[in-house]
Amino acid sequence: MLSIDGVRFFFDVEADREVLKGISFDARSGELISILGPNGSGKTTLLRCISATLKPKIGGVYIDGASVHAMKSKDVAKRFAFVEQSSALGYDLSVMDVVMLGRLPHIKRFSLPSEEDNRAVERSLEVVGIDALGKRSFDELSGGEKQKVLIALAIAQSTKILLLDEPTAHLDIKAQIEVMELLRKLCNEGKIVLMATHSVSFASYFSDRILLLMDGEQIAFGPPEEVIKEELIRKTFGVGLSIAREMRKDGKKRGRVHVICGGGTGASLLEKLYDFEISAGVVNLFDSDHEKVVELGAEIAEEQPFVPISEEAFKKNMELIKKADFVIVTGFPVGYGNMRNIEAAIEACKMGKKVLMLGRCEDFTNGKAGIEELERKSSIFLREKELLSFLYSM
Amino acid sequence: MHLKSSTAFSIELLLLLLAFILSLLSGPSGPIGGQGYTADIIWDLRAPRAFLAVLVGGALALAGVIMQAIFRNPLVDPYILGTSSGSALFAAMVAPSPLEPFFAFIGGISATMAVYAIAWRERIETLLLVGLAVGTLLSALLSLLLFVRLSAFSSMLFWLFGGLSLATWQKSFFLVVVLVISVLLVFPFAMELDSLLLGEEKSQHLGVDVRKLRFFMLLVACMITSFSVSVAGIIGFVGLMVPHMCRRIVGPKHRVLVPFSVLAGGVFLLLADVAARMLLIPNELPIGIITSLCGAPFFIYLVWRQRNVKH
Repeated sequence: MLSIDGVRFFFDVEADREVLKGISFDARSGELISILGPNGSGKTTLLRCISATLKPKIGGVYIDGASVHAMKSKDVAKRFAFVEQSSALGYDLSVMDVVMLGRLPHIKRFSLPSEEDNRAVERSLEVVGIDALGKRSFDELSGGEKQKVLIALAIAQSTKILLLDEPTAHLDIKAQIEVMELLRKLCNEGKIVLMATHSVSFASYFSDRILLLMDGEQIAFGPPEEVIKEELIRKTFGVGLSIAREMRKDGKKRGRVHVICGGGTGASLLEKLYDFEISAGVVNLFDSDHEKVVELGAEIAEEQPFVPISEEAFKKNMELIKKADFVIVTGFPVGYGNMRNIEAAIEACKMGKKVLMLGRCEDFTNGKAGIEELERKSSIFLREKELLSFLYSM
Repeated sequence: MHLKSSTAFSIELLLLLLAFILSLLSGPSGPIGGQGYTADIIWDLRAPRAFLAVLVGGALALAGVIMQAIFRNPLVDPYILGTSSGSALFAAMVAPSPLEPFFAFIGGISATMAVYAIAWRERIETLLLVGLAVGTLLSALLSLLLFVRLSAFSSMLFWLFGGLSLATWQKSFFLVVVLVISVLLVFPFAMELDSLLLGEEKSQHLGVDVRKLRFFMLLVACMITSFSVSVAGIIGFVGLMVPHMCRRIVGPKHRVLVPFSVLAGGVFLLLADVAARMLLIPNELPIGIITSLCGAPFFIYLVWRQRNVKH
């Protein structure tokens, strides 16, 4: 476990301006933690204090109880890998050579890289999905590829903890998503990932917990739903949540999504689709999904409470599906009353719409609803985050 | 694409051998360039001279590789940073004396540290300017010293433009020891030097103590430079050109670049020495004039290219 305990820091040339005013949090294995704040809020300084590049004036950083600042720099490098924010130049080093530098803390001074080192390099190229680039010159790569190489270097370092400073800056949206998915994957393997970012969207989609930072002050620390709140975001970024969250600068929506849901299975997802125009159906009145759709002001195909889906509601649903670019079916329980929703989704597949399923629908119709057929024709995502990152990558 | 190192080293060793033979055979008494050569001339005069050329070239190239790595810039070398001039001034103060190498070292390290102290926080351009200014100042002081002491014109030429005509087996032996030790000192740090290519911060995060590494490597670079100056005077630009061309051929990894540059420096200086002896035959040019004639335009080309890359 990594714990950051009351870290305060100022630069000696500016001793009256505290850059970090007492930061405390901890990170467990498998967690992705975002350090979120506007530019100049102290994110990079905090990462540097954690990686022992800077020494906190007060407070400390501990890995499993051992103080990082009492360790030799080589030992620190075996525990933390740092992906700096830089436009690194490789001076014609090959991708393989760059990644091999990650083995530096492990290679003894008078020996050559061992078989194990070579394997570690190959493995990290594979994990990142750039095995094909190995022989290329680092300098010739695109920004996204370079960032992946630097992450591969960090993975080759075989550390428990990964620190990243704005890992998605200067990348196009596709590369951003790929990098974030990769970080998620590394967490699933048990690493701790700490990432500095100023993107509210990314922090809220991908992190397990978020540290909100403003002028070196810890505003909040906790899971996204506790931290990404209107008043906290307004306080930190000086703009409202909806603006802060907007990933596209032009304010245009990314497309139209129709969500087939019910029984409260869609509410959480609907909330996170703010970059899309949304509609939903067929949802019964008084269902919590219905309330959420109304709250979001989206178009809806609705039905009276506790009544099977009528022909009229079904038609309205189909109209909304026709307008949408994507159709999402959340994993709601399917009974005789709402089985026409599955029928609608199958129709959507036949129309050539991209249909995504979030989780599996429980079948209470003895197979009559056609869930199996739908599962064959659509793409299934088990986690909300995976589905969202897919959507945002399209 | 870079050459495979086995291929590159094979070609290089062959070139070294050919250049060495060419050097043994060239001179006013022939067989290339005249007549009347004897075995004595070849073995007592030309052979030690050729050996010394290989060693001095290798030493200066190694110093260049180190300096370019630690300053992360291909425009620096021991001549440009004032190391060579400092060494020459201090060595000339006590010359002739067996303490020359020692004084050369003191002079070289003082000049380099002075330049570094003035400019280390500044941009690389400032470092180059300060280096050139300090180098010019020290060269002027050297000229003054030699002038006041009414030294022979030839000794003035030797210190200011280098020369291999005073080569002896003893000097070669001395320099071979220094060069081997230096390579052995640098080699274990090859990967650390590679990591500096990605930036000082990255190096630190990989567990490298950058300040210590810089200091230690600079010390080694000053040592080889000053010892080679004490036996062959100031020979400029070898450390600038050779590593640069070698990087093109075998790539930037120091494990390969260091030995390759040392050998390439040898080839280069052998050929430069042949040119110095043959161009105005039977008169001999100071070798530093040849290297500067190649090196200065090369330097300007590098500055020009760097600017074009940046914009």
